[in-house]
Amino acid sequence: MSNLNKSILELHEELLNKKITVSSLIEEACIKVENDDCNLYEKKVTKQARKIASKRTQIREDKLLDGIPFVLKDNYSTKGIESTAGSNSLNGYVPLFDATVYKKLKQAGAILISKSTMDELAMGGTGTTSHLGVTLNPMDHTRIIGGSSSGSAGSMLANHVTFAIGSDTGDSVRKPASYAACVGFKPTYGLISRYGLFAFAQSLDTVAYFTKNVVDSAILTDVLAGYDKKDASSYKGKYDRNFIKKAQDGCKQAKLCYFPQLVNNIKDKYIVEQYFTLVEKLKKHNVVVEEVQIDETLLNVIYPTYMIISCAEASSNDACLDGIKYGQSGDINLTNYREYIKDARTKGFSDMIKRRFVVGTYSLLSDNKEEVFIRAQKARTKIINYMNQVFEKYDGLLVPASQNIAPKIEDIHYNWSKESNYLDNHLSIGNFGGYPSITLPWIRENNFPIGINLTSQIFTDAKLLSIAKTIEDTIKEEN
Amino acid sequence: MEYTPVIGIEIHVELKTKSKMFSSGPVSYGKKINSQTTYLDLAYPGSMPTVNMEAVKFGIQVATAMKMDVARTLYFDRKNYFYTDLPKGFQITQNENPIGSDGVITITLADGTKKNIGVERAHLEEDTAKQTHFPKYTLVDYNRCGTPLIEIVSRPDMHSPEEAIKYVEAIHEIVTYLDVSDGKMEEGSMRCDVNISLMEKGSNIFGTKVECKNLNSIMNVKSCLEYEIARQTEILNRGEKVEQETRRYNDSKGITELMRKKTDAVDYKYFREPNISPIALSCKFINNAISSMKHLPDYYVDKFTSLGLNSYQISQLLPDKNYAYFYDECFSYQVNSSKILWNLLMGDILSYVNKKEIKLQELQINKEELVNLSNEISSEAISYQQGKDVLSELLKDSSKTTKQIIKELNLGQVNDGNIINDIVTKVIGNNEQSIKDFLRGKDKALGFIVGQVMKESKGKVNPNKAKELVLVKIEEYKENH
Repeated sequence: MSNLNKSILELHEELLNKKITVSSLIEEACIKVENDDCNLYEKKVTKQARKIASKRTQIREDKLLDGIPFVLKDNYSTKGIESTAGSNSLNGYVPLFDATVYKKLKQAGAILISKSTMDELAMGGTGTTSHLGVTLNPMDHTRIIGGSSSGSAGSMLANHVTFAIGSDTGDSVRKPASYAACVGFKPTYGLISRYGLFAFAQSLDTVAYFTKNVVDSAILTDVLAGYDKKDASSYKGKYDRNFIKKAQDGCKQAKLCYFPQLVNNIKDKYIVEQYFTLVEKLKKHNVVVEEVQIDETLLNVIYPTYMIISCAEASSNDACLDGIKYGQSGDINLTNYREYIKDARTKGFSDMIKRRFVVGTYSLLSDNKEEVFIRAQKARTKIINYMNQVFEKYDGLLVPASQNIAPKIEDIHYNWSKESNYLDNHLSIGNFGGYPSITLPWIRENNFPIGINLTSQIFTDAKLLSIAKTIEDTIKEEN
Repeated sequence: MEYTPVIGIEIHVELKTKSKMFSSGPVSYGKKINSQTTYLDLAYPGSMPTVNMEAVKFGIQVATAMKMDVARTLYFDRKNYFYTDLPKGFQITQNENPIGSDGVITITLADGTKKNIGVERAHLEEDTAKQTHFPKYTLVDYNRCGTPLIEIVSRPDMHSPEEAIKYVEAIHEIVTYLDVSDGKMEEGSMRCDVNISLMEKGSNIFGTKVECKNLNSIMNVKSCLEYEIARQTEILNRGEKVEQETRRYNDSKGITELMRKKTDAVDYKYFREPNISPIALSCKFINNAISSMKHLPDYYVDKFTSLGLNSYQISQLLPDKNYAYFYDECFSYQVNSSKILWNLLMGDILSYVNKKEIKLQELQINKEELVNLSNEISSEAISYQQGKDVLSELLKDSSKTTKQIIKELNLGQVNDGNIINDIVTKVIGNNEQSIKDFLRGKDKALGFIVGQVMKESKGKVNPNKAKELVLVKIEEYKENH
């Protein structure tokens, strides 16, 4: 068995007992990453990784991540390593500082193998809009792996590394995790510092990650969670920090719920059938899952609400990409700054990004703001209020993470549908309320994976992980 | 047709905090170009804003000084636009919930009447980069990027250039006395934009307003408003309409010039800054900010009034807080005449400081000796004229005492009536023509005679006593002729 199929805990054990060395582990990851044929990676840093590994002859017992290989989505600031967030506008940009997440992982001993590909500026859910082209599904090169954390998801499915860091604004880790047969965890908003994460839409953006199992997600949360004075939205208050212990123990009992539309309306009846099979099995572990009604309007507004808020924030966040200070320049023969910025931005962004900027800008114009942006904010609040009521009675919402297996590349449409299908977008509920939300490997169809997702009240991350562990064990039982 | 000007003023004040509004970059002046910036100031991807609580404290103090409601929770918003001085492509400001709202400032006009000017809001925001324009290019210095600003927006309550100037002066006094800003208009640490429209006399319908920018001195505020009142009056008298537009004051020509019309106005697409969670201000924080406020000008007005100064004398002391502080500190010693002390400070010391082109704070003078000098004059031990000589010695050498100098210069006033009488008698004898002139109604002749007495005594006799005795002698002369 390849060492890269193993979990963090298993590897830690073997590294400590000198069954394997950091060098051999990192070498294995580096070779896999170097031989990637799915467009999973941006800047590879295998040379640096090998150098670090050669010096890491002793593993610290209390550092579970010591010597563990990982990849980082290309929208994290990494000092000295080119970071483009999949956009031509940032070609050649080499950051001067490390994101807090990267800094903490380095301090914990984890070894970066590569930056990973992503949808341009994290906008998009397919992994098809990077400036490097489409990120392919390692199981089937005619399929996508999902996005926007596409390279990170693919690196897990292909077992190139032990864990992969992504970011989640709508479902950018939890949806691809469904296609990649791995755990995708988005902790509570504010739990982990976003300092150094290139902003897409900060009111929704969350550091999130892919791991081999629930306990590994708990281990990363243990390392990464904490207030950061550099991030004014990171949380200072108290919460249950026993992530690892709770995840290892699983839950004694839990009361979960589902909205019937998010299960019964899935066209693929195999998924529906499997869902209720799981619900039955969970009962044996004192995990009950009850049906709860939700006004379908709330589900229908998820997509437009998400698009308006995220595009509005993005149109402002990405205004800094003007070709003046860093990244790809505009035509320097242009003498008027407006013309110069226009040129730099015309060449720097794909059409899809420009369309989002137009939507965002339109929604914020004073003539439209009340009718578009403010309405979206109100819709967001209504959804949050309803979910908070649900979470008063239930420990979590359990629903299929996707309504299908990873789609074919040829079926990806770039035209925005006038109809929103909430079955494709409901995971954004987790971002609206900042809720912790985790996708777990669940079933397979024609060998292609589909995950299941659990979302709970903010700052109940430890409890969520404990329930997720029980579900994970239950799923393993039945297979 | 007669018109009433309606004037509103927006003032940006740079706060002199140690670091910037939302970054750890230092607030600095005159440092090497583009050397005082952080990742956020240059909008590097992934950099994030954090709120400078010292600036918040200053904001609370300014709001309190203007009797405003202070926000209990801080919210910040983004103002979006593309410009070369704005690396992020947006400015973080407070659009929806300013730190201070609904305040008032009382101004005193030249004729002594007092008037309240409403202050709509005061909000915290960050400054932009400094641009230097050349014919073919523009240079950008990002050092100023992110410097904390408080923007103070008045209500349209002012109706003359005089009221506008008094308002700007009042704001200047507040921010300098609170010590939250240098308040230097010439250097841009306090910047004014004025809105002005004309309303028909007796009407209550506002005219179309014009915004004027680039007013970097109080004189410019005055000249700009006078120019605009004349310009708009002429337009209205021609039967035309004033256009809503933004104009720039050109101080070399003394006119305003069109910058942009209303139709070109930028839509700033405001929305809540998502990187900063709302910050609830504790009562403790607010109370600490208020209780650590330095004294405002009003405090000194009351104090100086109780010391016997008149409103003119007080108005001269206040504009530069260093004079008020200096004067006030002298009273830690026993001052016998507040007026003589005032004369020494605002007459002789002020002109000395101006001549030397130094600041009052740089002056080497022992306040205790200055008070001693003032007391020597008020007790008539020396004349004011002699006092001036003592003062120039004190300014030359701050280690000397007033008593030493009086002794060294052999000063001291002759108050002995017999001695003075002898001199007066001698002078009167030599100046009969002057007496005749005086008796014919030439008042100046009296001053001449007293002057001769002073000259004869080498400036040592008490001039008041000399004058008394001269008048007695003149009276005697009148009776004898």
